[in-house]
Amino acid sequence: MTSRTATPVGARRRRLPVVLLAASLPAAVALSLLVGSNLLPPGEIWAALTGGGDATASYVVEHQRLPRTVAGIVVGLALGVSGALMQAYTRNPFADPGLFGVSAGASFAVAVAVAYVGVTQPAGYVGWAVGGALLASLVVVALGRPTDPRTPPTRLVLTGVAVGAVLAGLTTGISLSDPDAFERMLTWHAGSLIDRGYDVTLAVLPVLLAGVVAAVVAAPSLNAVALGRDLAQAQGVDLRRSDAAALAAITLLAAAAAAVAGPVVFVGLVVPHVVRWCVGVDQRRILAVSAVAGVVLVLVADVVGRVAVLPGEMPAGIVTAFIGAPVLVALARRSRATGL
Amino acid sequence: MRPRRTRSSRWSVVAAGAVTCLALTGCGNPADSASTDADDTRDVTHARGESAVPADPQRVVVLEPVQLDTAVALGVTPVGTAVLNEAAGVPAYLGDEAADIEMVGTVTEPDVDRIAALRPDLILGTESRHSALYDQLADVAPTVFMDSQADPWQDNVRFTAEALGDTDGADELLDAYQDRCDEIAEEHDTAGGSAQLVRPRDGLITLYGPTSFAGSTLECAGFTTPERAEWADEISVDLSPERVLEAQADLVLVTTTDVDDPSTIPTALSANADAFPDLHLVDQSFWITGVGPLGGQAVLDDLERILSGS
Amino acid sequence: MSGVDPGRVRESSRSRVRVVGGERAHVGLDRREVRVCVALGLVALVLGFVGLWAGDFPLTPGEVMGALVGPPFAVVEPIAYTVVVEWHLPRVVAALVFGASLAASGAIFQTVTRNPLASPDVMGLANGSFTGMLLGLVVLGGSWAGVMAAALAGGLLTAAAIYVLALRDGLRDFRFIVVGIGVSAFLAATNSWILLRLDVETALFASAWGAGTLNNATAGAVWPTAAVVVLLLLVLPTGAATLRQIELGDDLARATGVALDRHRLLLLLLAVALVSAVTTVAGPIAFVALAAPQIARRIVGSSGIPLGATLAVGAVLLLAADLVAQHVVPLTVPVGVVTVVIGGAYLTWLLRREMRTDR
Repeated sequence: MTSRTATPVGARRRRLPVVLLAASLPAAVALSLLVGSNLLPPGEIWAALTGGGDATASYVVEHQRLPRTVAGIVVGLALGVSGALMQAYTRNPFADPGLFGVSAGASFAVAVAVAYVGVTQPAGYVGWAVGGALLASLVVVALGRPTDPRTPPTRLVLTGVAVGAVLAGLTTGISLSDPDAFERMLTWHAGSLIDRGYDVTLAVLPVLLAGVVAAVVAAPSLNAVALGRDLAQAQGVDLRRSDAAALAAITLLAAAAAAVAGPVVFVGLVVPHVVRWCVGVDQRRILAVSAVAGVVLVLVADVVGRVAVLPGEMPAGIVTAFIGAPVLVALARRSRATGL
Repeated sequence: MRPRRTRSSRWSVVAAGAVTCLALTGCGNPADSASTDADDTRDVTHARGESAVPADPQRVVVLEPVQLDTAVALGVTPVGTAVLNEAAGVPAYLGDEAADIEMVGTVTEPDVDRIAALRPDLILGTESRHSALYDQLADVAPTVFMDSQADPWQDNVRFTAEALGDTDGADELLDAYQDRCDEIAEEHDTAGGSAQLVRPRDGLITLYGPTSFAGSTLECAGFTTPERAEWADEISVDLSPERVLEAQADLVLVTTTDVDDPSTIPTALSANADAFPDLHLVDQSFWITGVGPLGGQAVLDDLERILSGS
Repeated sequence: MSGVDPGRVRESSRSRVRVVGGERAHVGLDRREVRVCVALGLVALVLGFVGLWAGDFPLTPGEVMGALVGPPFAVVEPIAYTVVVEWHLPRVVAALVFGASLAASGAIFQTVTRNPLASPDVMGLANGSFTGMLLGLVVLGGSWAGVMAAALAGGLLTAAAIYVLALRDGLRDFRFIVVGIGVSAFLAATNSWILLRLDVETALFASAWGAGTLNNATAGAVWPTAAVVVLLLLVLPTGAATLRQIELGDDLARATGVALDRHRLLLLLLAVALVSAVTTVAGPIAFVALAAPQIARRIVGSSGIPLGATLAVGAVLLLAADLVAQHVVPLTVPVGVVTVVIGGAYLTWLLRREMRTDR
């Protein structure tokens, strides 16, 4: 490992994707503002952004593209960071941040809200999704957390899968027995940013901020934990504290993402996975780059979804899989690198 | 050696069972055919071939909303029906008598046990939905399948009436529907006006075209649906909220499960209130799923109420 | 570092870490496993009778026996005979045989990939057959036989695609899983998209199939499929010997002269065939393949996966789930919904108990 970081060629190869990514972030934001299902010329968009423009352009920019871009940034950031934390914490490169019951809890709560409470607008889902996600992950953590912090959280992941399965089954049962709820859940479940206004993003902002703070607290110990939990403790890492921070960050961020866009499963898995292949083994680096890469992927996927099936839209959650899956497979075929 | 003996004795049980089965069916069949009198049947040609059905069916089970609507309209209240939504039950617009019809599962997953327990003498279903169940249903009673629920609804009404032995009844019902359309068109002078039915779908906006059930009823009542290239081969089209202004029409109807709750109007429409001056919430239980002569009348009643109010 | 491939070293050390999870299969029945199997067999017998009897068609237990064996029990009318023997019996047999089949495939996958969370979904079978089914439904319309064939083709093509994509200088479980996740995610997105384009009732029907349902387990579909599954299960004991070699780890198995990649491929083919047969009739029933080996291991209290008990657990789990789906839940739900709920709750409970005893 030391020999690798010492080689200037390796270092340069590692810096290049990061630089490219940093440059692509503003490009993705600009794309998200300029391109959409309503094919307006960039001049009109600019006019609307600066306060002028006709009614159509200002509606499209103010009510659709601006709030949607903000929502995309929130979702991408949350999924990228929580995915990287999840894979570092579980030492499992296939772990998805929704695994601790977050996605299943959010879906279940939204299904209940739609089928039995009569909630109809995406803004109304937020509270339910966050509540369901946090409650489910609390149950998972309470049931599956290792009593000895030195043992790897394999059982926690299994518990997450088991509890998640129960909730997913109930969710499917609810939606299949009520066609109206079924139709709503189908769209929500695909993961989409369509019609997500500021009300939605504002409502999850506290959750997102709390998650980011927890991620910052957890980050310094990640490298030590990735080498092995016994070793980390020997190095003086307070495992209980770092575990608590990592778990809080994973669930809060994944809950924030699920509340805005629905359970987008693929971003949190593929982004840190691919980033690890590009930037190497430093977990803090993976975390930071994943945050940016998550935002870029979600924004680009959303833009593609807006123009792919005019005059309709393809949900961003579907597009991310269409883009991310081939990338993942291609990298898996090329790369000799394996684990963390 | 021991397991082999167990296995062979098990086989003998199976063989004995099979013989008993044959004996039972052998006994059963004559009794079965004795109950059906050849004189009282008609042959109906349908998606699965030709079936002899009772000339005057008394215990009908229907598996498709348009068949339920048509049967009730013809005065043949079925003994059992599949429903779109078990929690909601038989659609309220069909009236009190229909509310007592026993449910036999959902339209997509009918419960064959419950159908058999009702001892029907005629079962109506749809090949495109119930294909896998045909053999089971045919064991219970003569079973007639229409091709597809996606075919023009008036054709399906005629098919259902034919299966029930009341072809003239279908013509009467469809004529009454047309008369009601003409009446509304004349009374409210709808000619030249445009109308668009809109169904919100979680942010997306679905527009229904002239070949959809509700769209065809609006056109029947004199309205025109705003032109789109898609109407040539689609019954509906999904619209991004960015393009919501394409839903504009003289009369815009938005489907909902609760017509008294304005919050069910999608934000894309309410944010452009100026562009949609004449917008009304309508009940999706008949505007979207009430396919049939009674549903058509319910839609027209609702339309008249809206036109009289504005 | 020269002469040693760093990727290879890291990989084999990884697999050894995961072996500690105990994904090892064995066939030799010990006494406790025999007792567990007998007990589960009795449960299956009772549940099977309930399955023949219960339903919305009113029957007495005597009539069920009459329909099954005839005299000395009551002679029943033809329709009651049809309900018991031609409708309920195939469904009960389907639940038992399909449950065992899924469990067996889960045991194979978890052993071959040495991952307690592995299930045939790694091969994209669930999503692939669902894609096939949806395309069949859209393109072929009503023909149910055509839709079933499309589902079968979809699952097998997906498995083949994942295998071919993952194949490079031998079958590495790491690449295999990544490619599986990628292809599955791609197909899952395709499925969501097709469902969103369908009218709501068709989408609802397709989704019930996609969740796994025995509602289409009619006599004509079940008998041939069950025969195929039973034949495949008869091959299992031969394959299990290889499983034991695999449990020793790649390097050791190679040293003992097992042509590992070929055996792995054959075993995976067997598992794929077991799942595909079930999925063609019943859709991708979730969680039985994943949970049954883990539940069986914990009931028997063995370190590896006990194959016999795994089959029995799978059979009982699916039958019980189908009875709950049909007769306990007030609304019509597909059995797959219940298997995930029951299986998930039971697995949670087992994990919890295991932690308490560890303490």
